[in-house]
Amino acid sequence: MHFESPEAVAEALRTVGYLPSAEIATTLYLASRLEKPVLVEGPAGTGKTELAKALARAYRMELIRLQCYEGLDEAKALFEWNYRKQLLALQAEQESVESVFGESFLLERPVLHALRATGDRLLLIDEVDRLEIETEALLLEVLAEFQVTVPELGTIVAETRPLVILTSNGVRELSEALKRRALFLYLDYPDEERERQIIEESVPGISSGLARAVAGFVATLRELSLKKPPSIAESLDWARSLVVLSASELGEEVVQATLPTLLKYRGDLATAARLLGGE
Amino acid sequence: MFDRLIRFSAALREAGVGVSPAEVADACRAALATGVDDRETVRAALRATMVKSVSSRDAFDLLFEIFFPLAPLRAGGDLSDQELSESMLSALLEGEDALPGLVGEAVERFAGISAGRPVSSAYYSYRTARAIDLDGLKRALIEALGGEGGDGEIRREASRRIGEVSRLIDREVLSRLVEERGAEEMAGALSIKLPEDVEIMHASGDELRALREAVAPLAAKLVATLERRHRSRREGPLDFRATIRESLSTGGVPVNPVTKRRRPERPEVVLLTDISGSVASFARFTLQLLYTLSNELRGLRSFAFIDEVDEVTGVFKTGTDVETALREIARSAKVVGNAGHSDYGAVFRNFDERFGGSLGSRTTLIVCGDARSNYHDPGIDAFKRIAGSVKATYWLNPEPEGYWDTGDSMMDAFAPYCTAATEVRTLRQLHTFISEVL
Repeated sequence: MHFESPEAVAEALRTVGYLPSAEIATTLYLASRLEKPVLVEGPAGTGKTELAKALARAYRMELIRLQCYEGLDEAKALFEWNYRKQLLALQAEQESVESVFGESFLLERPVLHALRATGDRLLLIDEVDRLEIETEALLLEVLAEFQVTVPELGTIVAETRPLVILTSNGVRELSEALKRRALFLYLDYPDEERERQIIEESVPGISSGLARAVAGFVATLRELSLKKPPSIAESLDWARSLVVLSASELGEEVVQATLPTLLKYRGDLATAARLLGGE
Repeated sequence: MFDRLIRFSAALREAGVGVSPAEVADACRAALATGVDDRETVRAALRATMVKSVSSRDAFDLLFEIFFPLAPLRAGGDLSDQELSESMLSALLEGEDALPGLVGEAVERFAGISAGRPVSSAYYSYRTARAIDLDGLKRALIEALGGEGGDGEIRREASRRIGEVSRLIDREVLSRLVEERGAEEMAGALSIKLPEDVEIMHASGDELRALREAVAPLAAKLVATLERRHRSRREGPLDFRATIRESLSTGGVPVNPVTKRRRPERPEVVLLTDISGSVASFARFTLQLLYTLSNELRGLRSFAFIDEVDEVTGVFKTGTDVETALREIARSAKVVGNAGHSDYGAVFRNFDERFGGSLGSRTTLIVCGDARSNYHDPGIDAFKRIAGSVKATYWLNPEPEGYWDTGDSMMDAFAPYCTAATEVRTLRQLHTFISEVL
């Protein structure tokens, strides 16, 4: 998959309802040109996973997703031998012991599938920072060479390279080796202007005045030292609930009533209430 | 272009951003792919290929301004000083694109940059800001926006726009100085440091703010390390039922024995922090760390001391922000006994007496302090008892190791009873402590 230019990427993402910054578009463009994975890092709720999904939608790519968690191993990420089928084949004496280690007994897991499939595809390795450091090393061969080595079969190389996006919440510092192989994209909370556009884009029926007020208020909240600053998803939820309540502006009363969609901790709510009441 | 890219990457390495040769090669290919017409695209391309961690981004941006500077701007040369100030105000009000040009003109006129003077860029920025009267401009802006000085919303907006002006001034001064002195010299003169290399004890206000932002991921990492350490490496006992269930798919042959997972133990951590004057900025930092930790680690008990020790766990639990919590500690925690100078001996005896019972063989004790006991008895007996009753004791000392045991520092007396005593002057050292020592 080769994108023509950063602008073309930005345009394609916009048509499926994702508003990319120039940096996002440039990085994705480079990923396709240099055939390198992209590591997307940033706080929760800034649209990391959504970016991958939107990109797959925009270019009609097959989306192959590997959700990482502690304890994920080779058998679940790369490939596994189909024991049951091997055993049955041996019992039926149709096969000799050597021949049960063939392609037809191999169970594809997401990563191997991404390498062997044809056509345009996007491999999303989600929350890679949840992996243990040993498991992370498993991915290195895939990310650098786009190949997997199966001891009994040999090396399987991708004929065409899939686009790879890794996401991380920064819970754990990823290894230098992995970072070196990937392009790095940091997704922060959007600035006020971009957030306003996102809200207008994603919340039907919102007036531009209300969208601006919502974006402004959320931006102010993020400057406070909160336990969990509101994410884009939460500010969208908030905007939607304001539209449902047919509020036309941010009055103190309606804000007080709907604030729990935006802030999820009691302490944060108290801080925000001080901001509303004070000043 | 490529020559400049290589000099740029050398300067990045100088500042502590690790850029490997492979990454420089990637950066070259990226710049070729995007073309070099648009400066912001080039910036994005280089950033994606060369900077792989969030904390290095500020250093990258600053060095990018130095090595790929904007051409100095000059606009409206025939305006009088008065007119310049007025058109700046109107540009601020209407958000016109004229602002950078006007700022360029102001720098040209007021900064008085002359060749060969070894003066820092901050000096020229200050001169310009003073000459155009930034504070007056802000007042005028607030008035023009219709705020009577009481409206918080408008004041914030005005501050934001004025902040934009002073950023423009800084950038303009920088690009002029680069033009005059060359990029390498400017980069050297600014001595750019990553937040993790700043000495916590001597950090400036801005650096402390940057540190504060860097603390959150570090705390998460600390918690992850502590929890992993407590998760048993061995597998649990055989899960007979699950093994039989699994064997059904292989015709009753138990190919995959299934074991029970051991439930991870909740780590119990006790943090003991010196908050006396001699380690004031370090104490602010550790309390910040403590605050972030207490959000993540439920089994955390924290204590603060000067020459008395008091539990401060509750202060952080209420979910208030860190500033309020710090004030609360200063107000209500009983950390000062007689003199108000740190007295480790009294503290350890006191701690052992009052809280010693709550320590157990699963507790990890972390002491943060400089071990300077103002020539009081260091209370080795009590410390030995405390350290003996817990699983592990770590001592984080904000002083360079060379200073330990000089003057009134009793570090070497405490060290033998600690599982490890580590010098933690910078965030990077704290990183190392978490990943290698713990």
